[in-house]
Amino acid sequence: MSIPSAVAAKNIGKHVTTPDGVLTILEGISFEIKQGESVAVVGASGSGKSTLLGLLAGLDTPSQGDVMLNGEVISSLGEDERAKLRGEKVGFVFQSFHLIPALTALENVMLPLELAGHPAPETEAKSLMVRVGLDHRLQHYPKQLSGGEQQRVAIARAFVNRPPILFADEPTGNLDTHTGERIIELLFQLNEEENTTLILVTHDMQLASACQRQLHIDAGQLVAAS
Amino acid sequence: MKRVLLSIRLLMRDIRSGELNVIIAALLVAIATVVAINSITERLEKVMSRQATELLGADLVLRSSYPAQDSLLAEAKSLPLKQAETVTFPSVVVANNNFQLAAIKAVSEGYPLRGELRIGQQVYGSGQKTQAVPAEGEVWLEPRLFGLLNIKLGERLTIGDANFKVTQVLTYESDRSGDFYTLSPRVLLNLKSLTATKVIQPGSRVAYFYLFSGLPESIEQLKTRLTSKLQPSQRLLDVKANRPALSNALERAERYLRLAGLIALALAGVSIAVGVQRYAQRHYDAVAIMRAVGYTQAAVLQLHMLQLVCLVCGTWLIGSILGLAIHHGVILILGELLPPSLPPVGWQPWGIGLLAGLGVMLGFALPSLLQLKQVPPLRVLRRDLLPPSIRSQLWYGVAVLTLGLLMWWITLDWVLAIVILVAMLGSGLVLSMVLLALIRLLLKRLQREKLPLLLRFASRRLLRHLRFVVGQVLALGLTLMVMALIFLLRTDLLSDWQKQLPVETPNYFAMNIMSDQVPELLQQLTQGNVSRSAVYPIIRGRLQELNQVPIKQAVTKEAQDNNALRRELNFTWSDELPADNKLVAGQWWTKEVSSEEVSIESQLAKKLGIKLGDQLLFNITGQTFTVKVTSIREVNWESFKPNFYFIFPKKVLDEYAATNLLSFYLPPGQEHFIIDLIKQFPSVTLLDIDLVIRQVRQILTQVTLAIECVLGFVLAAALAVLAAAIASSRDERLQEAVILRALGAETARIRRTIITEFALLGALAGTLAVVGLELTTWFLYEQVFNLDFSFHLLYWFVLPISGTCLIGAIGWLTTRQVTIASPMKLLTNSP
Repeated sequence: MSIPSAVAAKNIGKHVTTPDGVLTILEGISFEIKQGESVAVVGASGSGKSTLLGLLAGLDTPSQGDVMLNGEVISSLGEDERAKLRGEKVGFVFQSFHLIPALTALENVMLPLELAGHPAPETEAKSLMVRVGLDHRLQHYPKQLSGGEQQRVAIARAFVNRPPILFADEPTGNLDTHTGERIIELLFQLNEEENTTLILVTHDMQLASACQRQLHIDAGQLVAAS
Repeated sequence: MKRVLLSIRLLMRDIRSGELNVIIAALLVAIATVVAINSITERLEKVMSRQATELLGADLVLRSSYPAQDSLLAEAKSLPLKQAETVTFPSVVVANNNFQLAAIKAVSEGYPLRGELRIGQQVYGSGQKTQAVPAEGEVWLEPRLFGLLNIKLGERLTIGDANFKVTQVLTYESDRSGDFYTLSPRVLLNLKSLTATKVIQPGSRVAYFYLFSGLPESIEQLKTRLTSKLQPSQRLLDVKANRPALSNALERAERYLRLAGLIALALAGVSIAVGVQRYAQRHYDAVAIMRAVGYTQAAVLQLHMLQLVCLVCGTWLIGSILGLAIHHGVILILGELLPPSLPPVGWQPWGIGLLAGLGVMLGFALPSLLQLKQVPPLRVLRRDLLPPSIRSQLWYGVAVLTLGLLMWWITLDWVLAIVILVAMLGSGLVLSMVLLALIRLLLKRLQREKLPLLLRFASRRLLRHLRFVVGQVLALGLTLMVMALIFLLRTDLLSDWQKQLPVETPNYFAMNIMSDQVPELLQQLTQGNVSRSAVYPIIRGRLQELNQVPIKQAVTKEAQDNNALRRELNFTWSDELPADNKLVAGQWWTKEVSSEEVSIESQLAKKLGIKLGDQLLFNITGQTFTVKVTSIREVNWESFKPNFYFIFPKKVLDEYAATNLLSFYLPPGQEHFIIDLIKQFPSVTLLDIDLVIRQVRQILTQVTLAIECVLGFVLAAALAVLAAAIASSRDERLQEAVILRALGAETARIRRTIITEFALLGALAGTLAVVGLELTTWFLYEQVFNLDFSFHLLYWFVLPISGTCLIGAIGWLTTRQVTIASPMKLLTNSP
């Protein structure tokens, strides 16, 4: 019996209806990603890479085809079932960090554990904050942190419940080059330590080349995979 | 012009996107409220004036002890006024060898100029309205005269030298005011028949009344011209001097309406403030772009100001129509209560509506607009750049000023406006400080780890936005308070009126009962199963001196004209305080130790400047005696029960001959009982006030309905505020909800989080509301409505619970979108 892939896309497509007719965003995309692999999805602006990431992570459902996480078809699940699955198997890092402004840095990191009913969320969260180098910023609110710090909190949050798969959407898009490089370093380091499957969307070719594989998307189609 | 068109275009876009819904709703409420309340109170004012004029029979009356000088009447003729004349005097009338002292009234054509006469062919029927007066040689008699004289319709009656045919039963005379207790039965005849009676001789007790009616300006003119020419025995009577018994109730209703209107307007203002603040925040990006492409700050302000003014103009039209529709609805409800020919609605309500809309909009929206113009153009590159926050003093200053002006405008009473404003601001300030401390304490406690995640999450979120939360709790709490207050006031006003006219309010007065008739009469009433008041002995006399000074010199010039000093008063004695009276100063005597003392009614005491301990000299049929004031009583003059200015201990009045008075309630359909009573006690005077009571009841019912209409308004305004306050944090909630969802939270959990948070807010707001409610009702009841204050224990449970449920529910409904938002927003949206 073969080990199922961490993520698999089978002929997926996404269409939306607009006043001018049906618009195709993605069409006939198929690929597989193995556990522990790091993959970059690259393409120009508007090529459909963020949409693809959303479908793979179960944030949205495809109009056609199937998405599988660890062999389980998620595209036919309801929103709440997908939410449960995300809570267990998926971590996210977003371009705009998306921390909750009302919660402290520590509380933001604790949140996924608390949602999953973890018995000791604070201890776990603190140890992750140490690993991202922010143990001196535990009680700060997002507004009081710099962009780089906020992204590090977001990374800590993404890894805190040890998800097998991590999705990152332009993780350095809102950061300066130097900070961006340090964030990528941290991301890859944690990825390696946790043996997480990393799928990131970027148009930064240097960052893409740091990944083991690249998927090129153009006008909604997979044009090259390496 | 180009800019106006651009403003309209931008405005239409915002309206289509639903961004302005809350502001539009608040504006509609504000404009409709002002238009409706203004027109309704104007109508109520008319009702009160009409009632007053009905009691007078005219708009203005000249009362004279002799025929008025021609020069006076010539003044009236030169103005476009209607005129009529009446002459009244007491005289004995004779029929079938029965003699009876009667109150004769000779009237000219056209009498009464205001109000109505009702006549019929049945003794003790309600009769029909008539425009006519008795023809020459005919008389109309009040029902009880038929019994007293043993006379029938069509028979003849003699007054002095003239003989008259009895043609009608006079069942109602709207201007029959005056002294109930000495009222002899009425005989109405034509003024032209008066000379033939030859009863008016020099020295007769005759009063001449000259009645005038017409437009207010002409009446005012006549009043000015006549005042300077009056002789000492001539007096002018107008509606102000002659307020009807109901005026208190109607004035309270009017005050209630104005207060409710004010509250609705203030609430609408608050929701506009919140709505525009949110509107401004959402326009930061657009303004940054405008500034980047060359718009000046002034142009930005102008553009947005124009948009809001256009919005006011649009809503003004709909709001005014809505307000007028409500006004017409209330008029339908008030029905016959209103004068039959109301002047058409002019441009005034429209103007007032526009002013109110612009006032509320500019007063409450300006601070946010001023902030909007300061958005830095650099924001196009750095979206985290915000306009400098506006100084809160300015914000509050503008809002308070606007509120103050609105209050003055609606109450037309500077003192009341300032007092309410200061009370509101003071309690608002104190409450918000207490609240801040309380919330912090409470939320810190809630933060403990042991609490479920939901509660902890909600409380942490609230704690994080403490200032915002205090603002929200204040807005929600004050709104809940206002809803409860208006509801409470309505209930208390109604029950107060109900108390005034309980189901078995006496509808007959029996007067001139000789003491030896009392046991028999009481027995008769008991047999007839009729409920009655206590029996009050009546002795007539005058107040002559205050502390050894003749009374007219001892009192102020204003008080010299007081009715109580110009005529004989009815005194009574009692060893107990009458059930409906309330002692406000001094002590009531006990039967055993009572001495030379007297109890005075509080209003009269105030007007004449009489205090506890003062010595009063009274004159009863030529005998004088001095007593000390030992108590002051409050009396409900609107209770339709026997009431007295002066009450003495029995010992003081025992030696004087007294007649007796009582009131009783006779259920409808038992008129035969009255006829039997009259036959059995022909000398007893019976006064039927059933019609008056029914009229009062009808008025109160209709005014109640009008009040309920206004309650609806306030509720609408309150809901607009709640929606605005909740909508103001929607964007942030939406963002949080999608993050939670991406992190694995299912819909039910997000929903529970939101509901928990709102319920917490609601519980806090409900608690605040009940504290504020007690403070405000205490103030309003004592100072504005003259009602008795007591704590509202029930509300201590109801408000926090209903606050929790209501705000929880509204929060859930208005943020429902939040729980169905797709987490894909995180990938496609910027922060």
